[in-house]
Amino acid sequence: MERVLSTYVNCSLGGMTSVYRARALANPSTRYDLVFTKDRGGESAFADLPNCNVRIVRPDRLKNYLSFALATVDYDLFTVTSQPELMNQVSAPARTKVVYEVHAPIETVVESEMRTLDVTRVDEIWAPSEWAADVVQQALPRRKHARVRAVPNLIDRTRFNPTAREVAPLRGRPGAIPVIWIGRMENVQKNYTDFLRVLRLLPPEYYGLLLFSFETDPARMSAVLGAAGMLGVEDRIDFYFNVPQQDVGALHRAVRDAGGVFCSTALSESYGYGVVEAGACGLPVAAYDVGPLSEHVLEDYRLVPVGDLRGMAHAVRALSGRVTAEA
Amino acid sequence: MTIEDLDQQVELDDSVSSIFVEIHFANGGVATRKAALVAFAFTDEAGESVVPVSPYLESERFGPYFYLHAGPDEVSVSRTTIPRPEGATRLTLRGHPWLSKTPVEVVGAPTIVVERPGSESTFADSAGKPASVLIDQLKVVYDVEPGVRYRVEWTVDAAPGAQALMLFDYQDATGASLPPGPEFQIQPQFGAFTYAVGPDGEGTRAIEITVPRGVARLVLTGQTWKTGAITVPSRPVVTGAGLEVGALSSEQLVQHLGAIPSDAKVLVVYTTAGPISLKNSLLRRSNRLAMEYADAGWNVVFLAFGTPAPDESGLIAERILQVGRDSLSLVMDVLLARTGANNVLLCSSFADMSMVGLLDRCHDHGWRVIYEVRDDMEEFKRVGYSKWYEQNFEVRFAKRADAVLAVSPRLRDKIAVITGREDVQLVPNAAPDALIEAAAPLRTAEAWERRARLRKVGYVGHLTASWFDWPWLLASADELSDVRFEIIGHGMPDDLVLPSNVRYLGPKTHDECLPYVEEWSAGLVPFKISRLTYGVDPNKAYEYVAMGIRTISAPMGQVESMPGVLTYTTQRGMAEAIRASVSKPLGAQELEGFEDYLATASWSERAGRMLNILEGE
Repeated sequence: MERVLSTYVNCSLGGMTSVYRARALANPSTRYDLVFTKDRGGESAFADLPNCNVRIVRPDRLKNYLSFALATVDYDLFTVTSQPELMNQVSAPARTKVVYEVHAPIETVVESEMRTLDVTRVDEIWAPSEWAADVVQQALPRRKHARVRAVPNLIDRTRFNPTAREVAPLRGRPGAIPVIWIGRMENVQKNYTDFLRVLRLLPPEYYGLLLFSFETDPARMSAVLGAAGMLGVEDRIDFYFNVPQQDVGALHRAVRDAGGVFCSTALSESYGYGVVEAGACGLPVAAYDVGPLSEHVLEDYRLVPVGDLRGMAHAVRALSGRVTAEA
Repeated sequence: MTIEDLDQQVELDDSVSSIFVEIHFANGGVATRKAALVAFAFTDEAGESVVPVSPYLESERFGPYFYLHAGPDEVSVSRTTIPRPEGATRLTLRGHPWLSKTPVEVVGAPTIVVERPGSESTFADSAGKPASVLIDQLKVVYDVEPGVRYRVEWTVDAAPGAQALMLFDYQDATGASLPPGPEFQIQPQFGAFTYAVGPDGEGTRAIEITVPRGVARLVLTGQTWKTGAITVPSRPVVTGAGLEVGALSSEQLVQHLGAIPSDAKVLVVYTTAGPISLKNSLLRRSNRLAMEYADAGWNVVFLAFGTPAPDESGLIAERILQVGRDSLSLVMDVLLARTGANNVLLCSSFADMSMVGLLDRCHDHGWRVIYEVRDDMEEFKRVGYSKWYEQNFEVRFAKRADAVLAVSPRLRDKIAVITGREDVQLVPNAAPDALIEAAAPLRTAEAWERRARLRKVGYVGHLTASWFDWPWLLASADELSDVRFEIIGHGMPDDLVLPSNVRYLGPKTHDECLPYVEEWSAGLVPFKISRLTYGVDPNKAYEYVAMGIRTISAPMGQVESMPGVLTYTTQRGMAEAIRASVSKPLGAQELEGFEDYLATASWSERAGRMLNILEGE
């Protein structure tokens, strides 16, 4: 049995959990030891995967933890994501392939990581899309030693598919059209503000279904409510926090069946998991055209120039009802 | 036998790594270093001498040896581990007297344990007698169950200044090592550890661990860290703390929740109140009503604000599952497989961001959502508590809830104003039914006469200066030197100087309070007059009524509509009310008023109203 040791900061329901989950699903005979430093409620996402061992380790103990694990367990692969300082401190034995993973969707963050990373310590650098791999290449020094590879993220087809029987109930707003948005309570990348603005441009029968995970700061939540209030859409939004991964697919299908749309107002992406997973469930997707999103091939998929609020509202309207009408 | 008589041979084979020797001996209780010595020699199959593993003491006369140091006790113990050199098949031990001025007697047969790497330590010699092992030879294996919390306890005998690491290795069923859990410190060479000896040299220590998924075995080994002998006299004890005391693992919690029939009524209570403690009768509204809901057939999942004690976690009573609020996500992820209005989320004064993030999901699943306003949390935040509170969370939650109720008129009015709702119900606090019944003899003229002679008043509750009006209370006590004040509770400011007629009795359980209250003529609710206070509907006022005494209170809740209540708005008013309460006899009419009031102010009556709200009636 192959063994993989991977480490990332947040054990949440976010993107890296999707990445790890999908890898474990696709390689059931490989054992994955996944080490995080912040418990953001994501451990349950691995509960159905017998080949995953999840551990949350205090940050000040992480270096020793990984060093000991690498010295005592015969790992085939060791991956570190978004922690270049850690990568520089932990040594793996020669038998273990060492990979630094870049999933940051923001170019300046990638550049910063590459500036910090000692590339001589890694065998490969992985990025989740050609676009992201390109960003990494450009951020690396010319005399680099590690190979940069685009290793596309995998999709958990058991959960994200159009035909699964599980469809979440949406009884709260009978007859209304849901527009689902998934992200963080910030406007640097996921950009909820533009979503609220788009919602304002949509007719009143549309409502926003905002999914957030691993948010704990009341001030950030308060800011979202404040922004919604300012735009007059506070009564047209529903919040879902920390929805388990297995329920997100069911929710996408429910939104699809209600004639709804997935809307991404992200200002940057390294892969665009949300977009791809929604599309995999047969849900129409409208997204700002950023990063690698144009690399994906999805049905009922519209890309809009970033920041084009009216264009996005138009795309959402054009896509809504499409699936139910066809059915 | 005397030390000279000690002459023992131990047969060895290639699998032996070391030999543990424990000798009990006596020299009359005279503490003597190097009282005696034991010479040892290894030989191979041909009877040729084999050089021991360095380092070791050696003399021309005895060859390799170790000392026996006598302590002041009647019997001293010497423990030594001798590594086996390669090729050795026999160890010979011979005793010799050395510096002791009195004869050295060997007490009983020496304990000799051969240690084999990879095998589990035996803690018994070949004759089955208990035997210690050196910490470096410690290796014990336990079968464990994932998700269960265990307590690992060990005792070591350590020389002064000695330290060792207790190493914890999790293994799966095939014996492959798995990553350790978060409880441990990590040493890069040895892995997960805790120190074998406590910071003050204590030899008995324990750690609680939660066994991660996939783990089948816990292997406990030792590793010398700081010089000095450390032995382990007995096998460390691993007890399934979680299983024994009722704490739930995630798997067990999911199992419990999943076992609730789909057509049963489920009520999730998320509250700022602490855990339901069945050992302590001092229960808050949320606690008491949860028990009433369960009696009425609801399956209550009680998410307490604090962490319930291990023996108060899990199914604490029929249909009451109590867990800490950090389990909210897990609880709801399981329960939201249920749909329909026989499922209710009751948020009791705790409209934090997790509630805001749950409310719409509950509605989409057809659940009813109730908001109960027990306190003015905005004010609590203003005085430094409840940092989670945001006004727009409360407004959003209250606006969208299916029903809203408040415990006091002030809170009802506030929530109505900020939400625009006109359907906010008033369901005040109450007195416990058992107290009303048990305290009936105290609601009599005879009881009053007895109390009047004592001239005592008192208070039970939190003593924080944030809302307890210490300046007014102490000024009143100064004025009323013939009245004795008894104060029960916790959180008293450190810098208070109490007058001689004010006695602080410390925190007490509800039952412990009763003998004191029986002697009071009045119960105090001496809160500062503030927006926070106005919103409170003090439970203690209902209990004072049940116990047949008057209440001296700041204006708050609906105390002014309660019998026997004297309110104040000035310090002088407080003092006058206290004086009146100890002087003016409690007449038949007033006592009758107590009974009339209590007939509709019990928790069972309130539960009836709350059940109607839960059911949407």
